[in-house]
Amino acid sequence: MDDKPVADLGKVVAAPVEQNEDNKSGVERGIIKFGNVLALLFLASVLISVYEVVARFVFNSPTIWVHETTSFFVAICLVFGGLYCYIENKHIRIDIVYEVVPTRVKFALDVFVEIAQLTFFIALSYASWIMAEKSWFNPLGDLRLEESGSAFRFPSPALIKAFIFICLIFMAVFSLKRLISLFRKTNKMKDAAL
Amino acid sequence: MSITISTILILVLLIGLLTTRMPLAFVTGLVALGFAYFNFGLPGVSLLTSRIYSFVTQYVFIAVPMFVLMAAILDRSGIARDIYKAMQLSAGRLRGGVAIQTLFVALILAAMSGIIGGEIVLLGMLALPQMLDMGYNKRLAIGTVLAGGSLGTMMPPSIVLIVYGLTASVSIGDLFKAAVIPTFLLVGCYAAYIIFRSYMDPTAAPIAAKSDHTKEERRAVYRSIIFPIIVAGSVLGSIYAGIASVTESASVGVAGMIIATYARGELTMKLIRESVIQTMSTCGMIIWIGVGATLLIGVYNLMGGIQFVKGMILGLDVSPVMIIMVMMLILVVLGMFLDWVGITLLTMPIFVPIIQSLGYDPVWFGILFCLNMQVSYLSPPFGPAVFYLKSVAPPDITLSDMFKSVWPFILIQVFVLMLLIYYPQIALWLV
Repeated sequence: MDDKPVADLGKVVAAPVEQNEDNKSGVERGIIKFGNVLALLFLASVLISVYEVVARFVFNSPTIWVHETTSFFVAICLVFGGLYCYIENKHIRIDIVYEVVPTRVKFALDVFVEIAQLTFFIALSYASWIMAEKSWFNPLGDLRLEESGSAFRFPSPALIKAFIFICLIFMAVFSLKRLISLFRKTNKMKDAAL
Repeated sequence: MSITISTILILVLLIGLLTTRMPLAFVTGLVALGFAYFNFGLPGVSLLTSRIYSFVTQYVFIAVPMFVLMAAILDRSGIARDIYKAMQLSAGRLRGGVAIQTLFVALILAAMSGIIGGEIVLLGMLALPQMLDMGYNKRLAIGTVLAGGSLGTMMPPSIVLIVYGLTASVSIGDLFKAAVIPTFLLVGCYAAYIIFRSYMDPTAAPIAAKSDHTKEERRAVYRSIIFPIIVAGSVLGSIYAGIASVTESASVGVAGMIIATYARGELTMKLIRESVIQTMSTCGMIIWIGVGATLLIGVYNLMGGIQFVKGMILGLDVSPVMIIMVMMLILVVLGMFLDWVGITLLTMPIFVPIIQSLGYDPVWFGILFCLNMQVSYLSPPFGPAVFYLKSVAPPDITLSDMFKSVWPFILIQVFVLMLLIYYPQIALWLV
């Protein structure tokens, strides 16, 4: 019977298919760290959901805030997960073609993909700004946070929409950064060749 | 631009962009963005972000991270190892017995976990070395681990069924009920195949040596697994009985799993932290593929695409079963290249209305879909199950060894799929 330490199992399971080879900036590392803490919101959601179940079934007094708070916590984590996976290069991709083409084509593909992604992030940032603006200000321009309309008057829609905007802006910025470092890399390669 | 040309253009763009190594999530999103802009201008683009918002705030979707978290904790505890040990102690001396045991352990783990990955890694570290040491046929051993380990999304709770339920607007409780008998049928067929192989070729599966464990040892192992099994049972039980919503049951399941690890003396801050981080990155991946796919299908729908495909398929002069077969074929082919979240969200908004107008039950179709995704986990060139096992398998086992091992199991999956197509009662009996 094989008795390998269990902690290692977790690592293997959690290990991404590919490791990010380029160096992360301080900001990126900071975001990863922030994400590691933010992920505890999942645990918080579990705890309050259990509280709700107990309150309803044992004490027959359902809460008005658990449902919405859980949705809010999880939504924040899910939105952030996109940024997190982007920094960690964990988004699923198909590299069957990429692996067989010569280095120059690889570089061209990298640049193309990054430009396309940058366009995507910028367009979505713009659109999410409009969405967030609408949920924060009324048509007259006064600050009025959008609420979900339940008895528990928590402005979760406004906060989530703003958070979507912030994450997309970060993705756009990091995409730009990757594009710049791609070009730097080739300049270095060219210098080396000369 | 006519809808025919747009449809072809979308397909060409998707395939073209995927080959550039752009992540699937952004490929679908980008194509959606392009078509939204050219067809509807800026308002089309802001439609995209409101879809992101509505996607991440669906209440039922919360069950997905909860089940992922539950599996993440399970994978990091020693529960799976102890269940395997318990099964070993209680096993008789049947030919092919260890492979059958592996299958049953996989089934029990699948009832506690709604994802694949962790289970395959665990079985790859526990069962595979043991079978290989005993002199099992390599392909039989590998195939058993891969097919058994993929059951996580077939046996309820399954996040494939949850996402399908959300997309098709079908009760997730009904889907979970409908999945039970087909899962047992599938496992039964796997077991029958293993026994058949073992008796046809006695060198393929040697008989295990007699175990020499004391009664106390047995008792200790059984004690350590009883609680986790109760947790899994009560999660499914509460969903089936309709006591709690899927989301609540999932949360209670996570809490139960935490208590179980605490009772076993394995609960540490490190375990919790690693589990939530894994949940975040797994869900970040799933959700953004989901966002990309819903964006694309949303825009395509606005362009009249879904109506177009529906009209085209319903206009075909073939029997309804033929249409189902064609859909299954499309799903198998897509399953070779795309992951299941993308496939669900891209194809189900098109397929489900069609099968409904043909008079079929969407719950039944969900089970067919789920079986189809079982095939996709194993099928080359990207079978995710195979890549998970590769990360822990002995180095002399190559990817091509693994892909050669899965064929009998894929054939069994297709066989069960056909049975379900012709006898829908197998799935619908419990609903």
